[in-house]
Amino acid sequence: MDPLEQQIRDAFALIPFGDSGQNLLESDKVFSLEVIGNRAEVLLVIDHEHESFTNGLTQGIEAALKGCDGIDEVGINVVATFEEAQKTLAAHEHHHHGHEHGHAHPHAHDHAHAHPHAPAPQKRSYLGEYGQVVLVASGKGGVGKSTTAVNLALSLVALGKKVSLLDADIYGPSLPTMMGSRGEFSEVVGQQLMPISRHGIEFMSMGNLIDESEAVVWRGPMAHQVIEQMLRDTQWPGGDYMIIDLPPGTGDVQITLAQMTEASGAVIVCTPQDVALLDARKAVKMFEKVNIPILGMVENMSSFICPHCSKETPIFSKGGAQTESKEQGYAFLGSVPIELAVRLGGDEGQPVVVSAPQSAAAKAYRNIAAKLVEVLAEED
Amino acid sequence: MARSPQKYRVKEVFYDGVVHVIFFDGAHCLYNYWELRTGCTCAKCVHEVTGEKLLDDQTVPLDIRPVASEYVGNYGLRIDWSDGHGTGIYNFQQLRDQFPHKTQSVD
Ligand SMILES: [Zn+2]
Ligand SMILES: [Zn+2]
Repeated sequence: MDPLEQQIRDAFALIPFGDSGQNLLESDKVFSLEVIGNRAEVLLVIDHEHESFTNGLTQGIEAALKGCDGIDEVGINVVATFEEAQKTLAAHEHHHHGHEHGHAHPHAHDHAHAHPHAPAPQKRSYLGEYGQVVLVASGKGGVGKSTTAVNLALSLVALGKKVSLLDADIYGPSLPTMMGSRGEFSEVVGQQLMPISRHGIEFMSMGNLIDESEAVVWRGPMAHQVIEQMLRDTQWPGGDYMIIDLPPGTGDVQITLAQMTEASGAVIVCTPQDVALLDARKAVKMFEKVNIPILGMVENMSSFICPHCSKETPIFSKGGAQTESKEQGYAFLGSVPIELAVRLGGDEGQPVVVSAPQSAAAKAYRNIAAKLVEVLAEED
Repeated sequence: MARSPQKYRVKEVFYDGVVHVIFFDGAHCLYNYWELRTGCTCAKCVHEVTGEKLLDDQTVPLDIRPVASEYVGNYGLRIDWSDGHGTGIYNFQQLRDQFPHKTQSVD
């Protein structure tokens, strides 16, 4: 290091930065220092919070510099922000262009000190450790969205994929019941939440974070925070697929989630009733607005399969969703017949894909999963 | 529209004299400030139609460095440089496949 620079550094290390307990060097307030001939020019960045330190500091700096060899004149410039300092310095360098600068240039010798590094950009998206993030959505509640999310996730596991599941329905989490984790709480390790593991899937649900008896009403900003926490602070293992069970309906939470996760796309769950299809259309519109592709539609409860004789009876007129997807130009992933097993399985923590893998419903879910894999492969 | 492969998705970016970009497949790439600034492909630096380079590299100070930056969607990074230039978006796919860089083994 240049002997003059060393001398200046030693002198600056003796100047206290107000009552902060730091010296001037530690405080990192010297943006640049330049010595031209017998004149030293200092540029300080002191934010408004530390304004009161300015006078004492400039006096101390002037005295310190004048005590250094060959410095007779001192110019001190104080600005409030890093950006202002940038501009000041750029203007100054332009002004001096072509001059032969003498002596020390601490800012040229040691960038790390003279110019703090730019802060790292802030990420606003999560779950990048998954190959695909699939949102399972519905225009309204009660159409079997969560059942679809769970059985779809388990069918993907059956296809050999590594899958995680997030219950983003913080208003009415149903994963603990369906996955059989009621009354269990996610472990906290350090600052991280550990997902719960069942049937070969790691998952998170509000129902495993707070007591069921605590009725929590999540209002807008809080809902947002709680979801961001589940995305950010969970020690997700990563894998091929992250399936997110979205809250029913079309609101801010759904859009935020879609954007915070750079989702691959959304699967819309509906029933064949016209009303439900209208709601489904609303959900489709919402995703289109934020450029989330519609991966396809799943139709639930289209028929009843008698557990005794296996006869299939359509409950509503079948195929509404199929026509709808064709008209709207996206894939129809399949319909799932309602079966006693689907309902019972869900209630006992044994989803039908696991409890009755040979059932018509389980087969339907497996076909839907296979189709989804295909759709996603095409998209890539 | 679906997600780009992990190879082109970025986990973390930070600065300490060079730009560090850590991709989701584990690759850790280092980019030189001056090379990155002079390699800017924005409309001010490269003619949109002819592809002719408009930026005179000599005008970029040797001590150029980022002062701020932000992610652009999931595909790129916009950097505000110390020379006041801030319209360039560095596409992660291009950074990974085309832009000269050094790699650092996983820490
Ligand atoms: Zn029967
Ligand atoms: Zn440019």
